[in-house]
Amino acid sequence: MNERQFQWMIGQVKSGRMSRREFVGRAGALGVGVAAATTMLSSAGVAEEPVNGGTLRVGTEYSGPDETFTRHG
Amino acid sequence: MTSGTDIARSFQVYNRLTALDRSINVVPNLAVEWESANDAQEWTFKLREGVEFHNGKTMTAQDVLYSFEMHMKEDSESPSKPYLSAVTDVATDGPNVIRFTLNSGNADFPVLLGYDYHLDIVPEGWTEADPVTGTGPYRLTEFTPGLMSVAERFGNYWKSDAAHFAVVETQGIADSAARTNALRSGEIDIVNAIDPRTADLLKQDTGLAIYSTPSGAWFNWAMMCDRAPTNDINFRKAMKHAVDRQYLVDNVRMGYAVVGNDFPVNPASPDYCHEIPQTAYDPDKAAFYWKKTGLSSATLVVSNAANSSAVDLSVVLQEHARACGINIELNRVPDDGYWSDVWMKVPWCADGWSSRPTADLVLTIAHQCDATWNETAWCNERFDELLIMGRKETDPARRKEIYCEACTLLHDDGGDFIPFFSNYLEAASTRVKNYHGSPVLELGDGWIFEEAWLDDQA
Repeated sequence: MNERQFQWMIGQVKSGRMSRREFVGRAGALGVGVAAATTMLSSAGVAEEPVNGGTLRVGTEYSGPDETFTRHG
Repeated sequence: MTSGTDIARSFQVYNRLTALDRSINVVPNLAVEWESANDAQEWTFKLREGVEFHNGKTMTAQDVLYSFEMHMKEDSESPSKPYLSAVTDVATDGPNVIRFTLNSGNADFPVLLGYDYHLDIVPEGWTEADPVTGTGPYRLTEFTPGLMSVAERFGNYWKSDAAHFAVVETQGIADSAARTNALRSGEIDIVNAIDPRTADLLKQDTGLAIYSTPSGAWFNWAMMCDRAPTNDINFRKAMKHAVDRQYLVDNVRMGYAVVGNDFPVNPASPDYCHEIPQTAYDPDKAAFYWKKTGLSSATLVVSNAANSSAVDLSVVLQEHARACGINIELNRVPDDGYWSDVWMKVPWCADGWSSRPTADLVLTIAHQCDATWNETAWCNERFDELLIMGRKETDPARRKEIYCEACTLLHDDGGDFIPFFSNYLEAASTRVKNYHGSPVLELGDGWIFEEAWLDDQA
């Protein structure tokens, strides 16, 4: 990999001129996997941008007909 | 609301006046600032303006007043009643100020308002017959008790830059293996209370992340002190000496726990009492006390509804007790109905509690005489006095002494048998980003619904 090129790209992401997604895509084209590209960004101190949307599915330990979602009594 | 599933949903739909961050600091929520006067007996909270309920109504101090009065009215069966028993008056001061007057100082009052997951703010006049309505990040659209709830992102949520999911689905899956399987097969994104014995296996799955968070959550066996046979102190002493606690920590909880000593303040708390001698496995002592009870056997009622290892823990207790000449009969009952038909009804059963952020809250919820959830029916006048003293004490050294005396009473005489404090053990798909465990409650004390998001790309 061309280290200088990555440093430039990380700089672009930090300054907001390149999105994380674009970075990860370009890194892929340069033969760097998603996990490695993500690590590169986080070790450079680039906070991840939240992604809005999708369904979070939560499974918690207890369930029963006596669940009382609205009980405030 | 007694179960983890209920608590998870409350974080989606409601807000409280304050919140607790991961370092257990109190941070603003529906209240933006607060101050105390008169030795922490009077607390004034300034409310956030422009907060909308899911029904379109704008939140005012009247709604907050109503929400608290629901818990405090005479016929209330709210578990928060003991926490609020010191509140003698709640009053509004204009549309955006609410003032609490306490009969005795409480330096940590804002912690309570952020921690207690019952103290959610609902619109004035709301009753249980009405649709669920809060100010929280998600609006409930479907709810089938025992099965599933669906909540959609509330478009007018007052935190515009938080709560990133479009939808949150929450379902209870009582069986720990079924829960883990649902996660591994991709049907579920995050589960709580994983079986510690599967944690190492799950760690090998690159699509999953394990979150182990030290907490003050206590797993226990509750022995009711107002009825036979558990009202006999010899029974309680026999049992407390009849199990090797470190064995349970190492072999049932696989090290994700620390040994307990039959009082619910955990060793990481600044108010933990190191001077109380640790009760250890001692077959001679256990046999000595057991003989004094004159009993030939005792029945322990158990289900994994109580805690995720309740059955395994009780089987070990049974084996270790047998070596002391004590015959324990295990009565395994279904998960469904455990809270309504078994807990606080039978003399001896298993239970488990979430952590609470201060020694006061931990000791009050289940051990104050008139606490709604006084599961051991233990009542000690001096203990109750100490709770009030501890609340208003601002000198940490003196406060620690007070809690030491209270915990000694519990340790020596109480009906709570607490073998250890467990870490919160959760597992999530790596699709879930920006999730962090909290020592306060599972699911990051609800912060998951504010901070986390899903990313299928990275």
